[in-house]
Amino acid sequence: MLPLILMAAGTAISAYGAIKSNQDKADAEKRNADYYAEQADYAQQIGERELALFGQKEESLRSSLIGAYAKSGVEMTGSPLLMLEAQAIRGEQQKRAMTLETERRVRLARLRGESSLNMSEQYGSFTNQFLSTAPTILSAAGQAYKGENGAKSG
Amino acid sequence: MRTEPKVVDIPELQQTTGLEYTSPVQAQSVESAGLIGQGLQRTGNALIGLAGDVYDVQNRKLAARRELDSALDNQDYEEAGTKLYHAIKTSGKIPAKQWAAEFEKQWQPERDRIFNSRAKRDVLAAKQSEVYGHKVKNHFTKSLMAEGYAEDTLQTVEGLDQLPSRGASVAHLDPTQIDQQMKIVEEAYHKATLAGAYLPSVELKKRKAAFEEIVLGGINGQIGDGKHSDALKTLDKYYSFIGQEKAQAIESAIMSQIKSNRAEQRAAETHQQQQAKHKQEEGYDRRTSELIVKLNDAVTPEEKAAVGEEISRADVGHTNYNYLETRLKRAVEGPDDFAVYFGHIQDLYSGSKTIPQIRKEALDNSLPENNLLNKHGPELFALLNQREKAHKTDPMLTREWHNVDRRILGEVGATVNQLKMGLLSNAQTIAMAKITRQVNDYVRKHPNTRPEAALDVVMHTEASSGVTNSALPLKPGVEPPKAGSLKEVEDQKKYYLDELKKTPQSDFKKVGEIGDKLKSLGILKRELERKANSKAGKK
Repeated sequence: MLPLILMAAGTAISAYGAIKSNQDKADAEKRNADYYAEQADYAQQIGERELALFGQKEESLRSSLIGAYAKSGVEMTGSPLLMLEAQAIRGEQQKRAMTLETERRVRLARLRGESSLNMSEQYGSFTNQFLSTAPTILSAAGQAYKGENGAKSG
Repeated sequence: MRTEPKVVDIPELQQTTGLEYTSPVQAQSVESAGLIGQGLQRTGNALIGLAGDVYDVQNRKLAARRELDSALDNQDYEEAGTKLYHAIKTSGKIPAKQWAAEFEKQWQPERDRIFNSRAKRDVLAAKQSEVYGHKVKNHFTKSLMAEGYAEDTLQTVEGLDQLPSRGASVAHLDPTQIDQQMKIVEEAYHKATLAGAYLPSVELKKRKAAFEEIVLGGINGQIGDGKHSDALKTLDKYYSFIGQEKAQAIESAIMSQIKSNRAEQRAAETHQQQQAKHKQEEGYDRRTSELIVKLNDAVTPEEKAAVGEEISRADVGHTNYNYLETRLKRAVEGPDDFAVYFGHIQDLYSGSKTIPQIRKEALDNSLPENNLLNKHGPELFALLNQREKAHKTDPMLTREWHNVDRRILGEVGATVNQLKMGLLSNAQTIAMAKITRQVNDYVRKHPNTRPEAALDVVMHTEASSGVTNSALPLKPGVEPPKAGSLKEVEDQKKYYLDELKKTPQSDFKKVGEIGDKLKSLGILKRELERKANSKAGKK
């Protein structure tokens, strides 16, 4: 009788544990999905802020350079002008790169969020719960059958 | 002065924003979230496993009891005794005592019969050998005094369990304890035997054989390790147990090995001496290398003197010492100051030090009077001064070079004034430079063309090709077109484009004027379009 009681208690606890584990994982993935959504928004804001700051800084740098030329009497022709052009091109390229980087961050965060949401649904699904608890129940049933049968024939 | 462009990079920006790409909320670890559930699952599985173990124990006991009953039913007492022995091993003491008592009760008549016949045989044997007979008599008496068969059997089983099993090491065995245990077992065995039980004899033989194997294995191991004296000691300890014949064979084997090993040992000693000599020489070389490195690192006379002191005390062998002495002499007197001299020049050229710094260093270091830096000092400083001058006459900044560009781009320079005020966007700057390059190209291809005419041609080409130069600001003095409707502006633009087609390209002045008109009309048109769009948006 004792083994049977132990077996029943063990099966119940194990099955409950499997269900709880899946449920907790599903909840965690849901929270992660929310977190990644927040990260996407945050990445967008930071990207825009960085771009704006870069624009200000770059403009300030260019103006100070032009000012320095003007102050020292350098004519804004030839090499100084070409150099200014080079800097302007690099500035534009940098802005483009920053925009792309922001897009990449946002996209990555969104993809992660979608993946987490998907995993949350998978963890909480009936199929997953059934597949997690079935082996425990079958294993316990097998043990009980083996034990009872052994006692009769042994 | 030539200024290199500076581009603001991302890390610098992140510092200025003071923001990082993190969030107050952290991502959740999914694995850790499921830990409690997993723990419960493991606990449940452990309970299931425990239930299985309980089943196993119960079933083993039942099986042992069934086998015992079956043997007793068949009146096969020897088989029943063996089964009882296994039942005791399997099920523990508690049921064993009860089972043994049941067994004894059922077996009583058969035991008496065996006991009687065995007693007769033992008495006969006692007559043949006084000593053996004495032992048998002793045991015989004891067995008569024994309280019960079951206790004897249990004691035998316990004694057997205390014996070392296969795999034990001889080094860990306590001979006194083992002898004692063997005595207990043998006593119990005899008691049981005389009481009519043969049961533990097979197991006892097995255990004895296993123990002997351990002892012999231990002795072999000691011989293999070259510990012959230890092997002889072990052999002495277990001499009686192993038996005289076997023990003598082992002893003679050990002795012959000891003899052959002595010759090997002598050869090994000679080899060791040679090895030690080699090792000493290696030590000499290593120490010499260390001293050479130190000598190379020493720069000041004090450092060199310290290394010299170390060399004089070094134990490096005669040859190495001579070599080190030569190196030391060369380091102190020789051309090592050249390194200092050229080092200064390199520092200066790379820009890591200035002339005053080098002069100060030379004085601070108080180099000896005869060193090469002092000898060649004037020469070095002349060289340095020459380099300084070279810096001042950078050909990139000559007036001549400057004038060339100014002549070519004189006209463009007027609009560049706006650049100086910082009013142009990046796109405008790029457009400006593009025009400049085109003007340069044009002047290079047509050397007799005036720069302003070249600019006009370029502007005309841009305008006629449909490319708008909106980024380029208007030339000073050019009036912007008056505001009108979008249609009026388009009509004007069409008119000037037709004019441009009719005008020969050699008429630079007219082409230039038309270009300016078209440009200003383009700006106006876009402005009107922008206003129209914003109005439409508001509606």
